[in-house]
Amino acid sequence: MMRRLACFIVALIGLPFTSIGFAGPLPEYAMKAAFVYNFTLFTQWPTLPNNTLRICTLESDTLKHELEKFKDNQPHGATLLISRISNLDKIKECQALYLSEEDKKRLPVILALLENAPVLTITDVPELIGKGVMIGIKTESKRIVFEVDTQAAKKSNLYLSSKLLSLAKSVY
Amino acid sequence: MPTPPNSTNKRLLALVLAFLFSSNTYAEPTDTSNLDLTQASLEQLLAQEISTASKIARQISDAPSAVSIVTAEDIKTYGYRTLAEILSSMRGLNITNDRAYDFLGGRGYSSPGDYSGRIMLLIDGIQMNDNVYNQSYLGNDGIVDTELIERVEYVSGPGSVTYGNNAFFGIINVITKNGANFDGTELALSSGSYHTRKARLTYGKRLENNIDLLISASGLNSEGQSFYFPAFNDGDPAHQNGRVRNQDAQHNQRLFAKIQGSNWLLSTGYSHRSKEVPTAPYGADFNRQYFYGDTSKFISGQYHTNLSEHLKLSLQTDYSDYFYQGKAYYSGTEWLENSTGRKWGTEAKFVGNWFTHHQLVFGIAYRDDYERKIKTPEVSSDRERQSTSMYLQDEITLRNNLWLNLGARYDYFTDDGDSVSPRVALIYEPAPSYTLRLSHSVAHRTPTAFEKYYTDGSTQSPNHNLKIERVAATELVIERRWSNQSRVLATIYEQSTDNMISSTPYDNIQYFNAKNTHTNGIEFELEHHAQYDVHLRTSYAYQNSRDAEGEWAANSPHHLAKFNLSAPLFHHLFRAGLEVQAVSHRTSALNTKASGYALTNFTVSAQQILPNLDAALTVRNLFDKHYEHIAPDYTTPISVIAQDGRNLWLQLTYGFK
Repeated sequence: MMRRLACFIVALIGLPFTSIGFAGPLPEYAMKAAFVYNFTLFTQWPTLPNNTLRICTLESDTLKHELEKFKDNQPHGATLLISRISNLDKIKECQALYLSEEDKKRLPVILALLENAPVLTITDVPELIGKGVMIGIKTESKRIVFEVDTQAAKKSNLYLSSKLLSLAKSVY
Repeated sequence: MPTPPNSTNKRLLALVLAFLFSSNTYAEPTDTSNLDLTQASLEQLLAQEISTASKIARQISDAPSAVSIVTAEDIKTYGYRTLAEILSSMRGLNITNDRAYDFLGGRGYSSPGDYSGRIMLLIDGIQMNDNVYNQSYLGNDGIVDTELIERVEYVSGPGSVTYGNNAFFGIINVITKNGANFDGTELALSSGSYHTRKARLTYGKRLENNIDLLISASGLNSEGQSFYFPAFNDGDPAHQNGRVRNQDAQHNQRLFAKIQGSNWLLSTGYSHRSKEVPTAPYGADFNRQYFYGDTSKFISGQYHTNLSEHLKLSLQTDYSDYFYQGKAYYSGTEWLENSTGRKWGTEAKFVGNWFTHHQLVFGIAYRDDYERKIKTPEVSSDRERQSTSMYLQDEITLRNNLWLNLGARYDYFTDDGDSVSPRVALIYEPAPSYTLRLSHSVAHRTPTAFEKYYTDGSTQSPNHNLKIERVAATELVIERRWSNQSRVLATIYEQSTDNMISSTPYDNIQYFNAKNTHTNGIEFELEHHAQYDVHLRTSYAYQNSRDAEGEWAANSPHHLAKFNLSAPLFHHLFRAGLEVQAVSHRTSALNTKASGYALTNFTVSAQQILPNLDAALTVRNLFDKHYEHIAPDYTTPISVIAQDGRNLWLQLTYGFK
């Protein structure tokens, strides 16, 4: 009996792994990219240099890949650029900056380098929310919610629309 | 419920088949939206459900060393029932079981029967090693059910700079689940080979006022197995040709409760296990009752607050105790022994961010081991002791991708003197997703009350002159992660000990400070979450541990390989987890050899097999491989102990929502 059970289980492993793509819930990173893009629609920058709006990621390839699907959109009538920045000295050239898990250790340095430059900072790292990053994305009950730090945005001369604040889970 | 094992197996098979063909109970998620994300409004996005990408877990432990993680999902997928089974699957760790306790080996060190105090066990930040033997309880004697564990992190390498005494070769950091993870009442019933039954009832909830509550109770009964020990097949009629029956039973009860708010936590736990021991240790009468009872309790409070914008404070106070009872027969005369350990401790830890390029961590700790009592017919000893510690660490950002971590801890013990444990580490990210960590760290361990004071008047004598042992290790860790889906880790280390506490052979045991030992090794680990939810976790470790005479360390395998693969089956109805653990041959201190082995385990689990019902079936030792562990010296004449053959474990979990 044990031998037969063992054979049975081995046969199970041998079965091809099957998967059915279903379109109900949408993939996390595609959704996060859509949120990041939408945040830029509700943000007013003092100026948009050369009429471009640059969204930057530092380490995260996953999000950059998803953001590129928005390249044909024109937020505020500007050309949308998606960049991955490896040299931190260039982060001031971004209008929006997405901070991922890999950037955790660098946060104090990043915030110091930004020196209240008008760069909208966004993160999905729970530990970074409330530490000077302007918008924090969280997952709650299979849905994405976000928190906004208006103080940090104000210091950087960014104007966040009241609609954005009204949709936020919490505002401080 | 004594049923012949075969009929149990038959019933299990019938159950598995029933599960497989009842696929109509599974509802395929329906296509609810064709949302074009590039045009979606924020309101639409907020209403949209997401499917969370399966990510490789990231370490919580803040350490510049190599960290391996087992998550709650792994525990379910591979059907782990004890902490020992979890740790067995991790990089470079191996477990030795002597049918009484599970002993943990790692970083070249693996002396069987020597309690696992050289790797520190923390549960939610509370030190769990008892203060008589420094044992960390990893089997059914462990304090927490594996189903309550959110994750286990193994931080390899000396960790005294943060944790002080006992964090000698590494730290095991267990983080328990929150009430919100359960969100209701859960009842789990399990049944397995050797007439083992377990029941657990857990209630967990996040209340309206954001207070999170978790309460759990469980009990396990196992009749155990019959054994044949050739060493006792010696013609002595009392030894019954080396066969032992009804000498392997174990029973345990556990309670665990945790209540927490946003910045505080109260937790408490209780565990009692009684175990019949079939191996007649310390020359006890073979085939007579031999019994160990281990009871552990703890209660702990933690509080976190921001003292200012740049200064955080964490306070922790805990009390724990441990009670051991042993019963044996020598030439027909009953022998009773017991020991009691009680302690309380408190710690204040600060994190300061005053300077952009410095993260400072500093703190002070006090611990009072006010009872460390050993009582045998030959000795009655109670040695209290206190310790005071302080530590300071600074993580300095040198460049955008270069950090220097400096730290030191000072511990003072009223009985064993003092010790300084420094660490220096350099962390470098040469390119995105690559991390290099080079560290040198020093750790210490004080002799245990057992090593210093225990005697049974015949086989073991005390040594009041035992001194603190030390270890220094240098390690280079290279890690690459990409896209949250893959991680590769390689580490190379060398470590040497000073005054290592060792024992003379049975039956004239005395602990003494040995000369230097030296270990070097390399370890690799690969984790990958592939398409279709296929998860791979595999590791290999080579270790070479030598004592001052150049002799190979007892019970220390040169090669350890682990392989864990899991994948969904039948449209995600099931999840299958295949596990292989390979351990190369080992030699005991008395030069007995145990050959290498590869152990295969297989688990198939299903969520919502019926509404609110989860099921899992685990077959351990799938190919019924005969393999042996090196026995502790004190079980002489038994030198190797055969381990479990193929065994089954079925668990049904029902959630009352």
